[in-house]
Amino acid sequence: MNIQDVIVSSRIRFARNINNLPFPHLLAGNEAKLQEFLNTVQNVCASKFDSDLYTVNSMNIGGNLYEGAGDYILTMLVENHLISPALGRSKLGGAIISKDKTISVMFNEEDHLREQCILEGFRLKEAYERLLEIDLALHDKLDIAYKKGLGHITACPTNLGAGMRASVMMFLPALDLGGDLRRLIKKYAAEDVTIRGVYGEGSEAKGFMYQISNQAAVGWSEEKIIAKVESVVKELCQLEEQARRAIWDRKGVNIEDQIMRAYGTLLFARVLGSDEFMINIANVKLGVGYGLLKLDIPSINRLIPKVLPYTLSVKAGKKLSPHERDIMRAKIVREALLACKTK
Amino acid sequence: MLCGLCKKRPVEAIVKTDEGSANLCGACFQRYRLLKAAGEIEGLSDYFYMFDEFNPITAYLVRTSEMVCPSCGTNLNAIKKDYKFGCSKCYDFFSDQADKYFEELGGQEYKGRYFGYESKKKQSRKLSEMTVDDLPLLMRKLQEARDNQELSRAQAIDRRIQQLKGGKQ
Repeated sequence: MNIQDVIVSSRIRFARNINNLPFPHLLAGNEAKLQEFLNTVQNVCASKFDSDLYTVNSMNIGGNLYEGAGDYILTMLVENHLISPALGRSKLGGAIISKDKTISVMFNEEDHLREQCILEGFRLKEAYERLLEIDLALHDKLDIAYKKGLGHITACPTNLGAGMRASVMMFLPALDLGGDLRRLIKKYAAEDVTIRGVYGEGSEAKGFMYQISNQAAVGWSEEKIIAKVESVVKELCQLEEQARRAIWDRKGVNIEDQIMRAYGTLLFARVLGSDEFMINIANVKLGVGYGLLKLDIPSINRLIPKVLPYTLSVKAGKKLSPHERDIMRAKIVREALLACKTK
Repeated sequence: MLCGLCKKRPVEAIVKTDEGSANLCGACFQRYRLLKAAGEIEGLSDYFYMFDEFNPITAYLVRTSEMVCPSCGTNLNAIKKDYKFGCSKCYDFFSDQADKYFEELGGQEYKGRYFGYESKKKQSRKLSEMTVDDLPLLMRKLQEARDNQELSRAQAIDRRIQQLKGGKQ
């Protein structure tokens, strides 16, 4: 089994705050300082990458008035993991997102800054190095809060220390279906590593996608966080491979039938619901893992967020009814699957 | 100079209104701002009356004022309720509570990278080495110098800012 059949993406996130400015939940009434802070962040980001700026509500940044992004755009960004759901609840929040969608700098979420780098595949160290470059530039221009012993100061004490979260998104159908995942979630929780459904808890109907990340890691160094998450991810890869083999031994032609029916549905459906897509695309990915289908997995992984409900509406440029979305999804999926065939 | 109201902490803000002006410490200023925003007081005279020694609630307010972060106005109850501090200075002001949470989270001292070191090295450069890119940093240093009443340092920083704004490197 190829590692890319299991690992979808890697993400590093830093939480940072600045001195002499109340944390975001108490920011109201500090407009002048906030303005200066946002202008600096925007200038630093502009010096490092081409970006788009989104704000939750209308805001003036760097002399420019930004209209609030609106619920559709914000939810689309959440679906694509470019902002957190919590940002949408922040009155003074927003995000600067790189054009290639790998870097996102959220401001005024729970902390003044939540920087993240998300890359396809198993590339935690590379994501860390890339984000570090931006983080260092922000340190140059901002008075980042830090206290010896505690580390980087955050609004919530659980994020103290490195203020860093390392996450890997994994596709774990066999561990989920075999029932081993529940035991593993408990096991790794005791080691401060958490496993949760990417598209909702208990997400067997949502594509078997799980996020593996460090929990509260006060005192842990950046290297220790990355090493720990990497070791759990490698273990899970091996366990997933064993579980897939066990399912194949047990089900044989039945699992092949299930996979091929799923592929057929995605290729020929003209109306495709979100849940139906998630179940079938998971089967198709499993089929690629078993060598039954010759398709490019990274292309399939890129397809999944493209056909989520709000992303479709934003692409269409208007609010779509559920039925209109299902028709549009079927067309995009059909075309994408035909385009991602490999030899 | 001590705060004109509590007479305990150093002055951090000067409030100027039509009724006159008052020199206040951070905690008293934050409380003034919050009470005014909440509509509890109309101006300085109302505020000072609240703390008049003959006012029966004075003792209570002065006592609770000890529990308010002078920088952001957060009190200990809010921190406990939300499990969130109000600003970076809260970690010093409520250090007992911060230590308690820290212990609950394992109490392991952070020994990872502090990205500020490189930055701090840059910040400690001579003024003459600073460029236009450093203007935000210089503005911060100017404010710090003024807050700490380091007048000659503030003047030197101000001179450098004016030079850089005038196009001189």
